[in-house]
Amino acid sequence: MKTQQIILIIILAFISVTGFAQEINETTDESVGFYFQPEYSAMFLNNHIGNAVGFGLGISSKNRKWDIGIRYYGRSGPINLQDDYELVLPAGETYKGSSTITLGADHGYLGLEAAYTIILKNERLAIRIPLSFGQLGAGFYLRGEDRFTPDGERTSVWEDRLQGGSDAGFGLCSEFGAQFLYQLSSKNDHIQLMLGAAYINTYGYESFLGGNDFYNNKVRVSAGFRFSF
Amino acid sequence: MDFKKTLLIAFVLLGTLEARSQSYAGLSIGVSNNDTHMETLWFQHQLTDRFSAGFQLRYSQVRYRFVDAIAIKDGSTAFGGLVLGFKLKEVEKYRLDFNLTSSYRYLSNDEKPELAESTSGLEIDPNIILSMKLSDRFKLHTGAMLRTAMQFGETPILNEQLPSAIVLAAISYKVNSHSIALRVYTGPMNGATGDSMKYFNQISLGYQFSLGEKSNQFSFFNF
Repeated sequence: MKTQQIILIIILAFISVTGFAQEINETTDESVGFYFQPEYSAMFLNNHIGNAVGFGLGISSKNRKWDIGIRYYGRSGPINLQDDYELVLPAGETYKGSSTITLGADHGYLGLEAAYTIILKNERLAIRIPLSFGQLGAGFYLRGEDRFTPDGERTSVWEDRLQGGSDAGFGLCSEFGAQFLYQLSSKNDHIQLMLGAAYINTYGYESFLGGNDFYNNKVRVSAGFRFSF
Repeated sequence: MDFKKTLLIAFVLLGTLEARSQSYAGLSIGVSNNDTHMETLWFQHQLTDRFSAGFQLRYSQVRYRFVDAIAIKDGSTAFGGLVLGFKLKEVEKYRLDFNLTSSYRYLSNDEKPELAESTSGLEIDPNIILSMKLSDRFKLHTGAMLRTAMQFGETPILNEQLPSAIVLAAISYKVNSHSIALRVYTGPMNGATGDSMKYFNQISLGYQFSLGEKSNQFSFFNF
């Protein structure tokens, strides 16, 4: 966990520290643009806040107001180690001698994204309004040493067995929100700080422990950078 | 068959002769939550202003990998593959590249005798890299990698790793024909019905030198 946090900090430090250094006057580019938005997200779920990492990636219109691309992020188990779920096994059933096991949860989302950007009076500020629709996959899984199964079977086989075949599920997902963009340097409009919030709805996702609403009707806030040119 | 081979070789030679003659060679060392250490060698040749091609060789010592979708902690891997580089856009101090590395992977399992002693597979690493010139010598690189991996053999697993949201950030420093780069990857990974490593971290330090004519301010970057 510490290693992952350190690497994430290094990435953000790279981007933030070096991003300020560019002070140049760019010529106007009249062709279709490109954008890339790496981000960290906090997902406000039922009983905890989930950590997620991901990005938006795509092309921008010539006037740089419209974006179309993909959005991809994941709330991976190893960066959510505090997020444990207790599974009490049916009477007489055990896993490695224990009748209660601790599971982790993970999630991934991939969707198409369309966004419109409004430049505010202060040209260093903008509001971006993204709308995204795609597929969500999520589930609950054995952690740590429990991943090494007692009979040498694949971990997913035991995860299926212990959770009645519903350890993971898929569904459709939509996101709608707003992002606040701040141009870090007045002379460089290619690098912006991004702070955003999105409202998430899922359609058809269900799992053994999480139920229908584990990710449905939830809010995700995110912080990152926008690189575009 | 011989005629086709001759034709193919002729086209390759023709393309090579007509192209700018800049080439890149380098090596890197790194660690990841897959591998305790990994060493990579590569050679890349600029065929046209927009297109380059080359090869990459890598060796690593296993920290946490999968044989038949079951985790092992002891073994080694060897990779050999082709690297294609496409420049998508370049505007003054910014450049956008798409690089595709396709590698054959050989994994030697030194830990669990009940599993296959070795497996072979394919790793496909498409990445999009945005490079920004910070000064004459420093460049910032950021982008995304969508790694996909599969295992062949008696137990084929075509979704060993599905394309995942891996973010990369790097900084490079160049003096004349020599450059060094520090590159970091981080992001969730999935595949194989959950029998995957879940999250991927990698950090590597690389050295690259260029040979031949200097064609532009941005050199090939994939290390």
